[in-house]
Parts: sequence; C-alpha cells; structure tokens
Amino acid sequence: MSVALALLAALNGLVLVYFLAINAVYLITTVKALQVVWQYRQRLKAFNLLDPSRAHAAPPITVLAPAYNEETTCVESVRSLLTLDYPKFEIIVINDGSSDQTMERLIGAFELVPRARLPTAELSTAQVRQIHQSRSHPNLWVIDKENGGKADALNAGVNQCNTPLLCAVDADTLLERDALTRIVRPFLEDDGTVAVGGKIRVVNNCTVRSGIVTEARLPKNFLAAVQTVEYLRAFLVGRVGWAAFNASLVISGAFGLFNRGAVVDAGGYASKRTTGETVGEDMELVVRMKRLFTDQGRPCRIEFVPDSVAWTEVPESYRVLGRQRDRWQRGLIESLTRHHHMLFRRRYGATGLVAFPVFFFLEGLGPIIELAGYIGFSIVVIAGRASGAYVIAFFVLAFAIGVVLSVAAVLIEEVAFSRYGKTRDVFRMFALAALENFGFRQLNTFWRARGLFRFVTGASAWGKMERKGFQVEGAAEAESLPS
Amino acid sequence: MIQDVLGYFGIVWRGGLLSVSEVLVVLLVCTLVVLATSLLLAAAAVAFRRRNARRRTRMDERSAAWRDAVQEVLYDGADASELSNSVSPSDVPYFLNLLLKYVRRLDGDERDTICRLAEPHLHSVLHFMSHRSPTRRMRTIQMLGELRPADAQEPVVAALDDPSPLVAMVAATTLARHHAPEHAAAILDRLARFEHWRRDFLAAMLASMGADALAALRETLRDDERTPTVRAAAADALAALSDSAAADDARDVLVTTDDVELQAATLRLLASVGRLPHLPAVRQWLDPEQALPVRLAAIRAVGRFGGPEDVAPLVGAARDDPSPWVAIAAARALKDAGASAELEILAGSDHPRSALGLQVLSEAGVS
Repeated sequence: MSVALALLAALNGLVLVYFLAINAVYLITTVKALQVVWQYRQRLKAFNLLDPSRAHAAPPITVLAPAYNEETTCVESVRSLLTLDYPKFEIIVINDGSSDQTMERLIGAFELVPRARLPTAELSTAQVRQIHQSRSHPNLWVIDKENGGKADALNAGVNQCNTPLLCAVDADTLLERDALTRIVRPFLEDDGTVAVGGKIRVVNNCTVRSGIVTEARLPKNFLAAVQTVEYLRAFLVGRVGWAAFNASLVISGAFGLFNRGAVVDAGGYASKRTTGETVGEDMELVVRMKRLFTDQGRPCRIEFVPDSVAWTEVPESYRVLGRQRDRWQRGLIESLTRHHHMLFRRRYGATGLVAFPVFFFLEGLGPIIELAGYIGFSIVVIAGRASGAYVIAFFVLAFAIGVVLSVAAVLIEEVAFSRYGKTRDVFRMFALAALENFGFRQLNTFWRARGLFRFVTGASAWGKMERKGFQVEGAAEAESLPS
Repeated sequence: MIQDVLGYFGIVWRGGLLSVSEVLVVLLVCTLVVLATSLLLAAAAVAFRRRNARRRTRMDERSAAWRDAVQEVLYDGADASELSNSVSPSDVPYFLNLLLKYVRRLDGDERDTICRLAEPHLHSVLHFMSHRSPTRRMRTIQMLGELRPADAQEPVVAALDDPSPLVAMVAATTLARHHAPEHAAAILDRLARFEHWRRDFLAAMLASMGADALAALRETLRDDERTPTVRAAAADALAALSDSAAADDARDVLVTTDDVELQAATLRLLASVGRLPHLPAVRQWLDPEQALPVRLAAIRAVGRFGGPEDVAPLVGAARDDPSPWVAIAAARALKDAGASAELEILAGSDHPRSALGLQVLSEAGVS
C-alpha cells in the first residue's frame, strides 16, 4: 500500500514538474513572440523587400498541391492558387490516385492536355500515369499518379519541380494573394534558409470570393471557433517564439516554402518508398533537414513568417477533430523518436538542447502525464492524502494560465494584424479562451494520449476529413461549389 | 501536497519555507495575478484595436483632404509651400507617409515637386536616424532617401555602416534606386556586408542603379581585391543591365579566377552580352568535369551565341549529362540555336531522355 502511495505521490510530483515546465516554456515563448511580432510589424511598415523595382529578383517558386479525392474543392482551390500575386510561379497539382472525379474536374476546368516533362530529381514514388499542362493557364501542371499517400504525392511533385524554391500546400488551402511575396523574404535575406513556415488561419464561416477571403469572421460552430483561438496561439506564439530562438521543428504541411535542393538532398518527404512512412511527413522533413544539414556542417535556417497567410477549413465535429489530433500526435512522436539522436545534443544548438526536449517530453509525452495527473489528483483527494481545496486551487491556476496564454495570442493578433473586422469576434475569442479549458482541453488531451497509444501499438491510419466547402459570396459562385 | 510527496521519500517537511496553507495562499495569489494579467492583456488588445482603427480613420481623412491638394500642386501649378505650411506638426507623420506613396510612383519634375512639399518637414524626422529601434531608423532612411535630393543624402550614406545589416541594406537599396551616380562607389564598397543575402536580390539591387553605375560595376568585377561573391553580384547586375562593354572583362575574369561562383556569374554575363570572339573562352567550361553551376551557365551561353559546331556538344549534354538541369538547359539551347531537328530526333527515339525533346519542342509550340 505504501509503495502504491509513494508511486502516486511521485506521479503527482511529476505532474507538478510538467505543469511548471510547460507553462514556463509557454510564457517565455509568448513574451518573445509579442516582442518579435511587434518588431516585425514595425519593420513591414518600413521596408518592402520585393517592391516593384526588385520584383525580378524574386526567385521562381513551384507550388505543390497534392490532392486525394478533392472533387468538391479542387477547382476552387486551384483557381485561388492561380490568382497568386507573385512574379514567377508554377503550380503542380498531384492527383494521388483519387477514386472520385478529382482528375476529371481538373481536366474539364483547366483544359488539361498531356505533356512530356523531364524530372529533375529521382525520389522514389508510386507510378506516374500522365503529366498534364493547362492550355488556359500554362503555369498549371497536373501529375496524375497511382495512390501512394500525401508524402509520396509531394515527392512526385518535387521530382517535377524545376525552380529553386517549392511551396507545399494542401489542396484545400486558400493562399492569400500576397502569401508567396511575404513568405519568400527569409530566402532573400539569408542564403542559408532551407524552410519557412506560413501562418494558417481558420476559414470556417469566413466569406470567400474568387478564392480570396474577403471577410474574416469567427466561426459560429463552437469547435471551429475554439480552434481559431488555438491556431492563433499555435502560430502567433508557438511558431514565432521558437523561430525567434532559431529552434523551429515544425512547418505546417498546409503551407510551407522550402529550398528545393535541400528537400532533395534530405531525401524528400518520408514515404514508404523513401525514408519510411510517417503520418507527420511535414514535421519529419523539417527535423530531418535540421539533423542532416547540421551533421554535414551546412547552413540550415528555418523561419516563420507570421503575415504570410493560408486559410484552411477545420473540423466541426468531435469525431473528425479527434482523428486529426490523434494523427498529429502520432506524427509528432514518430518524428521525434525517429531522430531521438538529436535529444540533448549540443551540436544541434537550441534545437537539440531546448526545442527537442520540450517537444519530446512536454508535447510528445505530455498528454499521458496530463491524463495521469487528472487521475492521480482524483485518487489523492479521494484517499484523503491532499485537501480538495489545494487541488481546486491548483486547477484554477492551470486554468488561469491557459486563459492568459490565449488572451496574449489574441493581443498579438490585434497588435499586428487585426484580421477580424468585428469587435464582437474579439470578445468572443476572450470568452473562448476561458471556455476551452472546460471540456475541450481535456478532450484534446485524451485524443493526443490516444494518438500516443496508437503510435506505441503501431496504428497508421490517417482518418478522413469531412469538408463543408467555403462560404462563397454570390449565388452563382455558390452553385459552382459543393455543399 | 509537496509535504506529502517529500514525506513518501523520507524527507521531512519542516515548514522551513511554507506551510501547506501558505502554499494554498501562494497558489491563490498566483491565480489572481495571472487572471489580472489576462484582463490587462484583453484590455490592451481592445485598446490597440481602437487605436489602430482611430489611426486608420485619421490617416484616411487626412489623405483624402491632401490628395486633391497634392494633385493641384502637381498638375495645376498650385503653390507647394502653401500646402506644405498648412500641415500641422501633429499631422506631419501622416503627410510624409502620403508623400512617400506618391514619390515611389513618380519621376522627374513630379518627383522634385513632391520632394519640395516634404522638404520643410524632413528636419523633424532627422533625429530618428539615431533612434535605438532599427525599424524606426529604417523608416527614416526611407523618408530621407526618397524625399530628399541626391546631394542631401549624407545621413543615408552614413547608414550604410549602421550596426544593423538590415538597416544598412535599406540604405543601400534606397540610394541605389534614386541616387546611384553619386553613391555607387559607397554602396559597392559596403557590398561585402550583404554577402549572405540571396545573390539574385543583390544583383537586382545593384542593377537598380541603372546605366550610370556601369563603370563602377565593371570596376568591381575586375577588382580581385574584392570577394568573389561581391564580384559575382556585380557580374549579375551587369548582365541584368545588358552591358555589352563588360563582355571582355567577363572573359578576362573567367580565365583567371578559381572561384566557381564567380566563374558561373561571368558565364551568365557572357550569355547575356557575349559575342563570337568570347566563344572559345566559354567552350572550355562545357566539359562534364566542370562544376554544375559553371557547366549550366556555359551551356546557356553557347546556346545564346554559339555556332553550328556547338550543336553536337549541346546534343551530347542533352542526352548524356548526368545533371537533368544541364540536360534541360542544353535542350533549350538547341531550341534557341534553331536546332529543332536534333530535338525531334531525340523526341522520337527510345532514349531515356526522349521526354526532354518533347518537352522543349512543346515549349516552342512545335508539337
């Protein structure tokens, strides 16, 4: 009995240390992010690197958009990509063996014709059936290939990329027109830049016109609205903060810009035909590049640009969201265990000494510790080993810290970008910052713990995202879109 | 609980620091502090939102009023000093911002007129050149660089040595764009500070100096005291400006330097402005033993001004060079050289690169 109680006490001690450590990390990154975003905003007012006089200095970019069964959104998404405001860019859509009408829709909408094209790299992929070029938009290409998964599709795109930079986006993502102009900045300023992440915003309930978000609104759906605040926190605090310490480990698969040569040198995205399949191919690539290039003594700067924006639809049902979070957690822990060699290694700088341990112990194993904490604290209270008042005080403090971090993210948003036109939306975000702590946070912990469990048991399913389509201005446009 | 945890491991909590009830108080105080911080941050967010909205409104109102007046000064001969003097001190930042937008789109006399409108107010921003914030210094450099004449650019030239590399770059780009003849040498002398910038960007910045800076750029290319990166940027700028007089310099540098980056840049320059006499110097870099960037640039140069005897090596590169980049460049060079028949042969063959022939022919609209 005494051993069990000692173990329980040790567990509670571990939870306490976890609580202190993770909140310390969040508070430090929040303060740093506030400073960085403030300076960045001031800088934007002062200097535009790619003003018209230097537009020809913009390095050409290939946008890679893998699509699997995206018949409902693929045409609108490609139209949106075609409106990008950037001097030189090419779009390669990769139809990853869709079993629906994705390919037919693309052929019909963009007058695609078969074309020969010499690959510039030889990453191993599933068989490419045919390559098409659009007659109406010569910078649009579509690769039709056998199904091989997202990473495999991206690798097929990398093989056909003949520009120095490539931009990986999800096929259902809407890029803002100036997204490429903004995200390319770190590549101009530093030749050692290998990857740059852009900011993902939630498009649910926003008004979209011709592939452009014309009015940003907070979603009416509670889950989507909570995720909006969550995304603000993740991108404006987490990504900005880690990038400021030169310790980024994640670039969202929905929108990231990469040095093409670096991606090829690193072996491309992790698929079963290259370096081994993972459900978190976006993070794995970034971690692998950081590891490989540091080992080789090559420069490897990974940046984040907070004002380069892509809009994406987030799940509005608990079932779909649960699957997504489960998958993200598996991807995270897979990437970290695959490159565990970097843990606490000084040669990887802040990444090895700080970011990797934080991601591994606090983000990767965190859900288990947190869940165990809920259970452990309950047992301690029931067993009469700690006062209920103390436990309640502890949870209230945890709740308060959660609120302050979310409110800080909203503050950063308002200081720098202020994208939500209605003040009511800002007040709703404050309310959501409090409400997410009751239920959503615990559910998220459960989903992530489940992902961790599935990682241990070897599950590899992706799960299906159910899309509603974008909210489009004008009835005619709405008719052309799926519900 | 701390007491419990320590107790299980045989450590006796003697309350030396805090008793359990005191821990509770600490937790509650922390909670209150954190919640109060949340409220403060929320209030700050709302305040920022309102302030930003107010500023936008104020800027819009002022701009609307001044826009017509500026148009009258520019095109109807209205008195510039009258408009300039009507701006209140608190509105000066807004006024200068508006003029900055105008001046970036104008040239010649119209640009001078905008500068005259700004002139009485620029002294009020001069002290920001020594501001501790780099962004404030950058903003000031933009204003002075854009709105002051070339002979009043001492503060901007001094900013080329600013401790912040980004501020120095802003100074360089501003001077390069508007005051190149007077300050080209100063910019080129500091170019080594920007070596980590992307080469294309540096070349574009230098090329924005225009024809007045050609002599200085050629001098930089020739100067072997400078770093290869700086000389390569100068070569690329000369290529962008299509400076045919630099072709001989490019050839001379090409045959004397060991640096791959500089070799490739001079070959790119020759691809842009080279002539038949330069061809022998270019051909020796077609060898598959040469570094990829050099080979690539040489192929493009040969494609641009090579003769019939160069078709065979280009066909060889298109078919057999280990690099797909070189193969693509060679196939396009064949197209530029009018050797479509060779491409058709490649396209119709069962060679692994037959797709390349088809690709380049379709780019040319042949198939």
